[in-house]
Amino acid sequence: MIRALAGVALSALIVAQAAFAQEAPKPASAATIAAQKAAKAALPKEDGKDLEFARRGFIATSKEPVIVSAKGEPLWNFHAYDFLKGDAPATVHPALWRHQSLLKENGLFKASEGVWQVRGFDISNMTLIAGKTGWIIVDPLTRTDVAKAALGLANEKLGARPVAAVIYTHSHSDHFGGVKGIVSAEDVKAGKVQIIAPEHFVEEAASENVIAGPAMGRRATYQFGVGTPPGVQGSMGSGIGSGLSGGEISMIPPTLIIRKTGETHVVDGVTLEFQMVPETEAPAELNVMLPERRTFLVGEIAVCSQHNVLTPRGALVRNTLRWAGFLSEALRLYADRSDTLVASHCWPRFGNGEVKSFLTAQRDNYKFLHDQSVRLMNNGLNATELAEQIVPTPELAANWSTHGYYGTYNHNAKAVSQRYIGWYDANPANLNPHIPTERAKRLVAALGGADRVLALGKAAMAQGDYRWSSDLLSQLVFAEPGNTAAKALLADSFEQQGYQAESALWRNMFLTGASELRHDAVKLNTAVSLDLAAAIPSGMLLDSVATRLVPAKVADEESDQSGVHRSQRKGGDHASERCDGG
Amino acid sequence: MVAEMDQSHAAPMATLKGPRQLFLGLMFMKAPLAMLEKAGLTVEGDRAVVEAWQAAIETPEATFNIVTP
Repeated sequence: MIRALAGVALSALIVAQAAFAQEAPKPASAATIAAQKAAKAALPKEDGKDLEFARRGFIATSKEPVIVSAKGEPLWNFHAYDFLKGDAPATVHPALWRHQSLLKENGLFKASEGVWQVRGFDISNMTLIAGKTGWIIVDPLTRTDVAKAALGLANEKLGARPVAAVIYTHSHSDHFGGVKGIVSAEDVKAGKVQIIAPEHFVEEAASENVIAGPAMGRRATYQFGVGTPPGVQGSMGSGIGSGLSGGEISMIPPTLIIRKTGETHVVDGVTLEFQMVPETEAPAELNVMLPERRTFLVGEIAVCSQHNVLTPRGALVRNTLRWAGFLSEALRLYADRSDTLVASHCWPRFGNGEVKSFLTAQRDNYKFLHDQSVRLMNNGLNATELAEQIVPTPELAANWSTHGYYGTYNHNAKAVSQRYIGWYDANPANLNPHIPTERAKRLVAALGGADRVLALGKAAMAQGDYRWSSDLLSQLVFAEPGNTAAKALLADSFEQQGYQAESALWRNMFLTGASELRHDAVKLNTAVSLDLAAAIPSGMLLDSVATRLVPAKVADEESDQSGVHRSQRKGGDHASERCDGG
Repeated sequence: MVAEMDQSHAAPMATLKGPRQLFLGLMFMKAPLAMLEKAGLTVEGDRAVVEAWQAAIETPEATFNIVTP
């Protein structure tokens, strides 16, 4: 069935296994060297706290350098970022270098009394809470093999315990996909293991990216730098983790649905107090307070980076105002009672003061981003213009955790504008322009032809104006796709922009663009999880197939041109389906 | 194409019945109808309508160009 659904291509589920093309990276230019120096001078003060927090409580890590599948395929490399030593090279933004140096820490760590985390075994963290009889696992990573390895390490070092319950904090696959590596569906069905998740979890987990899956999947190769191996001239992780693991994604439907903030359950002797935070980082999401252990588990709405209001691979725009509001609520309800904050990405925060200041900075950052984007929007600035003017306050700029290693002020501000007023900037000149190739041909001609544009691009690069050189050269590539000189120069221009990016995602996107200009597009394995395929509602499958219908191919049919199809669901994952075509 | 769950068409030109997997095979893998019928999919009514519908479904390629046209 995996093959049967290959075309659905859920981008969040793609296996990042690619035929890596040989890169031909260039060194940092003089302009990039100067930009990195300026960036270094503007960095927050290094107090060593993040490194201490990232390493505090370390117990042990994997004895094996690589996690491999049963077939021997490499799924996770613990040493992919071993090259991160010393000062940042000129090809990496100094803040991103520091950030990935922290994210590469891996192993089993004690977070608070009775609470541990396995970090650096995947893009996300597995949190383990000791119950009366077994483990309560929060977020079992993305893939079954890495999840099994993570739990195996905990059992080996802390004493073997059965899994009593699993909590999925939200509907993204890096927070549930490894579940069958740590528990069986049979044990869940028999009531031996409880699966806890926020309201609408199954629908959202199954549906995110179904309809727009192929486009999102393709764009995700850029966002995550698939085909761009780690390196000083390659990928620097994803900003919230070192990368995506390989292997199988699984899902076991929840047995306990959480619906309201304040809802409290005692699970295996541990009190779990939930905060619902839907429509923020994910459409279905929750946080967990452990009052007896004075530990707040914040899921993914407050991590070690500014997050995405609109992830570059594409998604529905998230609600920044609501996001900030839930962080205010978390401060009000949980901060006073917390001495430790753990998240499903990145390292913990230790001490009540640290918990409060971290949540406050995260809240302030999203609120600032929202309010200032809207203010500028209401003053008539379009998305590109307002993004240029969103400059963090000195307080936010001085905080390492609000920097844009993942989301950025630039693309998030544009997303806020998009959420409220959409793509159109209200300038009729931009209402119906020529398509990119036609516009490019006219622009290149207007500028004096291909040689002239190439010369202008080179001149812009010589001045270090890579935004302009990329713009000019992209026009030339779109006007003349066979112009190898233009493609090579555009690749060089993208590469310097990637080197200068603080965001790991921006770096990945620029470097993947450069790679694609120099080589072919990366081929992906777009296999889809059987469990998730089974969970996609039948109506959604029909909606999805409707988006694949080619009008010209049905125009001659005698049938009702609306192509009405009606389906009856009999219930269950493998239910009989009925589809009447009229 | 309009799909409505739990509603029956008054006068369908064709009706398909079978397990979910076979519908996935029909719509997304574009498996031959005859093969799906052997596997348990039943077609009542105008079989040609079903084949024409299936033929009109495209499978998007996830390798389209981005930085080149």
